Amino acid sequence: MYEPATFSGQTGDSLLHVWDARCKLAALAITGGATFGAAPAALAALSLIPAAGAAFLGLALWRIARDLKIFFLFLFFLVAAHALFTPGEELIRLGWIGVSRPGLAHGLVLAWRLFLVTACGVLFAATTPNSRIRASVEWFLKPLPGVPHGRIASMMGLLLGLLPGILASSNAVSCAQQARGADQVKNPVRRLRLFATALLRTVFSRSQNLALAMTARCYSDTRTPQEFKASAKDMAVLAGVAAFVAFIRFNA
Amino acid sequence: MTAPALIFEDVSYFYADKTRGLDRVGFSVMPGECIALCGRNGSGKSTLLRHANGLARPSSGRVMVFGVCTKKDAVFARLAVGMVFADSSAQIVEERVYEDVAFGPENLNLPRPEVKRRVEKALDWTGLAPLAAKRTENLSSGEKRRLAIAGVLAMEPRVIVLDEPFSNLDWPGKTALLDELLRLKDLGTTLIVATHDVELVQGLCSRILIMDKGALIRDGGLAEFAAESQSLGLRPWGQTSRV
Repeated sequence: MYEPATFSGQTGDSLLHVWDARCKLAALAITGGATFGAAPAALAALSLIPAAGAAFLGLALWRIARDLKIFFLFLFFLVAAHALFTPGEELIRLGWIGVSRPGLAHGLVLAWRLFLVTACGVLFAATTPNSRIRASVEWFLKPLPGVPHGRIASMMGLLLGLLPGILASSNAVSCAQQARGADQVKNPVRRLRLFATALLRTVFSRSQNLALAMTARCYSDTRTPQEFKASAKDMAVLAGVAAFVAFIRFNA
Repeated sequence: MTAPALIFEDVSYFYADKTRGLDRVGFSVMPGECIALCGRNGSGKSTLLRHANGLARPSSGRVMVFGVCTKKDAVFARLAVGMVFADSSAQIVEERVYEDVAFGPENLNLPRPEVKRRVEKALDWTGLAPLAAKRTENLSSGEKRRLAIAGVLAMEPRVIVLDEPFSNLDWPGKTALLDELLRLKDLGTTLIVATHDVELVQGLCSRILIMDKGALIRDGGLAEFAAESQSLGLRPWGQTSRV
């Protein structure tokens, strides 16, 4: 049975699902933008947005966390790099290397910001079909002169289309390798190399097939435009989100 | 006199690693003809079909689609010749059934009402209308195959080439697909069906092309080669099979 992956849009008729995709994208940009330079208190308040959204939609957080484990690993390294290489008051000494208090704090805030933007992105992708995301990106870019809006939107759509596939492939590759005793390989570097090689091969093959299928159906950057209809309710929700974010950003 | 829908003129094709994919293949297909394309795995069937759709360009020789060389106008070939890939999942581009069928017409930048008309027609034709809002990952193999065909039908091509359309389908799926192909044939659509199930397409195709190592080794009526089917590496047809 198909298990919906993170970054793939789910059907539904909730407010988040039916909200105009352009308004959702604008809200994502506003929330993401507000995280820059935000203090921890503001980040905590802004975190309520994706947390409430995830709770409202009943998303399987454990599965999203599993799908994003590489991202969490990246965040860990980010925090570690800041903690170990930022000069300042030493919190603890691990042998020859010290963990700096300001570095750790800065790293944690930075990781929190990235996590917050990603969480909002997951929420957006989970409630919006790829075609609508692509179309709304194109809609925002169209007025900008000299910007290849069609191509950028298509690339984004392709990336979003491939992401669930890559996540599904990584699970499939992992299972297939475990079935052939890959978990018996003690060397983690060798295990990672085996996994990465198989995954990359699958992803490249998938991308190649996708490109071929698109070419066979006359893929073009100039496509029939999507129709949008933003209601007053859509705009009111966007205004509400913008007001909440602005309040948090300038008061917390 | 009617001009051929497809002409392969002495077509050879080499892959990037210099392996020969096609070896001086030559044949023509008249509009409305239904042809079975057979041969062992790796004999060049898929490569040949990709040439018909303009996805691959001959290393030498030329492919003409309704009088237009695919080297000169590959887009014309793609519009005239729809291709259903062997792996239907690989052909699905969008998240939902309706969106995937609309992908082709939208690429043609057609007006929205025309896109809608084509999509609804293709969905009705393939019986996928009730599944229009369904996620493509949730479809069965048979439904995915039908979706791939619907996606091609929405482009309204005059020729459809199908790469092993019966593979990975259960018996009801195979017969349903066969019915669909027979209906397309009745509409006058030119069909080329690459298949190992010659027995299954006996009622559909009157002509068979047999390939081996990239070369076209037989071209004629189905009955002509029934006796030598096994020596050609094909499942016997025209007789009761023990397989």
